[in-house]
Amino acid sequence: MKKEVETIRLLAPRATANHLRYQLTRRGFIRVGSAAAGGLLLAACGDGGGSGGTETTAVATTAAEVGGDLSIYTWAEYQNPDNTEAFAAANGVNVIIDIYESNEAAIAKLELAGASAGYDIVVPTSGFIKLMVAKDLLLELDMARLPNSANIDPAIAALQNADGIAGKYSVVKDWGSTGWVYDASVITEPLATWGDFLTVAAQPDVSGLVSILGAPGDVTGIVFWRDGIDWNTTDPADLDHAEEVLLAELAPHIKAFDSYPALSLVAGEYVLSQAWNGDARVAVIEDPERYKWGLGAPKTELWVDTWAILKSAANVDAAYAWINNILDPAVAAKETEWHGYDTAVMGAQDFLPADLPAPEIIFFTEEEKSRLVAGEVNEAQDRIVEIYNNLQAAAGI
Amino acid sequence: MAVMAPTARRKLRLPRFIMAVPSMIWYVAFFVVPLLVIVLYSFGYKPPATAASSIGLDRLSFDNYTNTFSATFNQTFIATIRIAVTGTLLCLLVGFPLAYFLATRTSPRYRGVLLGLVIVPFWTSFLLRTFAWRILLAANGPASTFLQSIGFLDEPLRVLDTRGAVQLGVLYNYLPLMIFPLFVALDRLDPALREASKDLGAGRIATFFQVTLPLVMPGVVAGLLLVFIPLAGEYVTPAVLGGAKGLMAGGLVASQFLAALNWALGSAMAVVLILLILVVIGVFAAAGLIVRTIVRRNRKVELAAK
Repeated sequence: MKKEVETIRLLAPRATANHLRYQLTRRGFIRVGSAAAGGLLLAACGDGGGSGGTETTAVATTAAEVGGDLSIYTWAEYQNPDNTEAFAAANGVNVIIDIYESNEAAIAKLELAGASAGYDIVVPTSGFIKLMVAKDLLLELDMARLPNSANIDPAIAALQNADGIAGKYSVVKDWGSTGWVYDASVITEPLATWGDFLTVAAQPDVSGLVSILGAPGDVTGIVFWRDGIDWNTTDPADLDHAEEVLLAELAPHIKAFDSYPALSLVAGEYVLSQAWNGDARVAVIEDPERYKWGLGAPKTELWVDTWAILKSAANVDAAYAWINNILDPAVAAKETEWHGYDTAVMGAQDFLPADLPAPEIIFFTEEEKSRLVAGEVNEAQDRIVEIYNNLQAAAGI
Repeated sequence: MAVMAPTARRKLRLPRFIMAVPSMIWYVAFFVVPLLVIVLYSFGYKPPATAASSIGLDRLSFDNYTNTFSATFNQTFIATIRIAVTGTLLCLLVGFPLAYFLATRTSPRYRGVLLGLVIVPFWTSFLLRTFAWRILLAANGPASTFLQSIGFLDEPLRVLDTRGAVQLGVLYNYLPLMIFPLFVALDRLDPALREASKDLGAGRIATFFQVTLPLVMPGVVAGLLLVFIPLAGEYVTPAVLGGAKGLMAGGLVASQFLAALNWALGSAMAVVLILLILVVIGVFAAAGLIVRTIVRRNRKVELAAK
């Protein structure tokens, strides 16, 4: 397992403690007080469409180079606490990390709360940047203040900036893809394609033990990728087709919509899960013989997550310092070790340990890369969310 | 002696409602105003995702209410009310004997400690306690292993991510809210009344139904309301224990706001949920009144000499 989060102290058997710690941070339900307070407070949030939790890294402020508080609004288990602590100590910054479960949830909260949300940095997927710019939430970045942005692989940066807007308001954090992870003690024949995923999901010993990502675009993607339809289609007939297939072929077999299914899979709650590679890797590392990862085929997603600074940020200096620091190859390598995604920082691979477990789930082969399709957020977005909602309702019956 | 002018003696009198002003301000600012905003939003519409705002109010309609009553969402509302009503009645069934025991069968010396034990679970976060159930009830978890080892189950326990798990979770989470008002009502009941009932020839059962229960009815009603209202709007327990099958209306509202970015539809669902809770309370209150009237009529005792 990964390193213990220091701010949670609990007395429990190791397996239980690990699971609980995972649930708390990974699922992002809990607001954890600072190490000093050491208390647990309830945050009004959840899984079905949930939101955040906070981990505070309280560090004695020594050399106050930048100073102040830095609030980062991001995904669960997405930054290496070692890097966070080192940054906090070096810059005299108190780093507060708050968690969301989907781009939509983050946008809703930032829009509802306005400047009073108090965040400095947010980590949206590249396609959502333009929605946030339309809502006037993001600061246009001054690249001169991010000299390390030159380390980013231009190929990934080009994908991130596909719409010509995201590149101005964000820089690449890391990128990854979507596939499946399954319990090979139940599912004996390997899955090759999204078609297999749907077929296996309907098998009697698998049906009802399937989890699907909580991200609408990834769910409709299953049908588009399987049937060779452009993932970014806006044709209403394609979208109707996706809805029909999902409601008929997938809805009856879904147990949960879960963006981080790995540990529930290991706990025996799921047998087959749609998952992002970094999370699937957590299950595979747990027991490589039993839990198997497969990258989606014939086509699957390519997403690029980004660092962006909010217009309402109170500590813009610290935000720039944070982003620039994390684009350093040595720092980026430690991030990859923690979250299991490729940071696209050139030279970072040199700093990775030789015995890094399951590297094939982080770094894809050329053949695998050829399957990836970059997503965009277009006028079909509302319809995709509607399909997802209908699927949620249908799965609940 | 000179007569004092009456005005000089008059004390400064504040209006009597002054004591209620702080809470009134609080309620207006943080309850009434947001509620009105929600009602207003429920008549709005969702602009395209690329628009600057997530709510459109320039044309108002009942469309969101029509959508709220669509077949798919109806299922969730019906399930929500079923879970809430069942959960509330289960809390009463489980909580009443305990409250009765605490109030009438324990020594006053230990009563405070025992009552304290009832709230011990509240010392831990609501969320953490609910999560603990996920570990206990997991297919590879201790409950499942135990039940399989004693031969009670042939295969792993499959209770998580179902409505059954939600039902279990809400019973556990809301039980103290039922026990406290019941305990207070039972504790205030003068034991002499029960003794008098027995002296006059009533058995234990007759005493309970004809003396104890009618006198603690206000406590029962308070407990029912305290449990039912928050339970019907429950969001955390189904999110943690319910999975795809355990969705309740609270989760539906949240997903409209946070996932669909459809504040208009989410608002309409919230309004419908509030109205539905009021309707259910109204139905049960009416049923209760009818039962009481019938019971009183049947038990009427004529004291006047014939």
